[in-house]
Amino acid sequence: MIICVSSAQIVGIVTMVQKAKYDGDARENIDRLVDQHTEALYSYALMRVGKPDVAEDMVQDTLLAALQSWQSFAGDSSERTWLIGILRHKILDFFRRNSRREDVDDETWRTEYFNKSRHWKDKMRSWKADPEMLAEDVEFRQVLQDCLRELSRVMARAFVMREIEGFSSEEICKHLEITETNLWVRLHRARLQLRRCLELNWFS
Amino acid sequence: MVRETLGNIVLILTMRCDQASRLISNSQERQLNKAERCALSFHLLICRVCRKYKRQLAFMRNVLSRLKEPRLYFETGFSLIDEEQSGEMRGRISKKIREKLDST
Repeated sequence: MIICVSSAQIVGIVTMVQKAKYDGDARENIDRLVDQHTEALYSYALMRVGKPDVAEDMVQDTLLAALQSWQSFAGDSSERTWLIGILRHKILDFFRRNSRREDVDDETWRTEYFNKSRHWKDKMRSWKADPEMLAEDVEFRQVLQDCLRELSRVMARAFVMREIEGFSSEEICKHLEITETNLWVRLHRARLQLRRCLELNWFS
Repeated sequence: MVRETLGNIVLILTMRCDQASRLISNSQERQLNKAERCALSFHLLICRVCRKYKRQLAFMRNVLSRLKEPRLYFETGFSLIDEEQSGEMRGRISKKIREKLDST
């Protein structure tokens, strides 16, 4: 018996076979990926966005995107690096959304942190700690996370992009569509607040 | 020239901690101009609290920059969620991912 198939049909069959394989591969990996990476991805995201529901959605979207492009993962970087790469994109997108319309109130920091004669209200302690050990300290990171969460959204985005992700001022301004002066005000206020929070909750 | 020098002197004499704190923060972002550098250096010379603030900002930058490292989230047992919540979250996420993969 001769079976006649057109080239279009062959393409169709091949695609079906590929899809089945892809689906199979992706599905087999759902539980493993979720079990292995959820906690780390969630902590990574929460440290930066500060909102549990947003962080959870991001983890879900990241893992879904990973599974949907499962076959394009070449395996030349580690799975973890690949996932973090996807997650970072989602975090930056989140930062950008609506950021233009947010204004910063320039002057409240003066009365919040300085007295009438324009000296510090806070007494400052000397921080004696090794930065490397501190970054590894699980309890410290929890405190830091709580302090970052206290920052208003306007400040937090700029600050996280600058200090944790290490973007240049120029890159941040472009991404958040704000002026440099505006960025400097945000960073200045974020630093005042974070310093106070860390001192109260960790260094005293 | 004279006016500029006068301006610098005024800046030095009127510098207080609030302005100094802003310049300290800005100096992490941009090169301060000559007058600002002058005034800030002078203020730091006489103000112990601002010196401390400057050191603390440098310290914060140092610690925070280390948090970029994915390893810190994957390997040091750092988790911002407890075990029970984590189990529930994993359940929710797997379920939603399956639903979404099914619908495409």
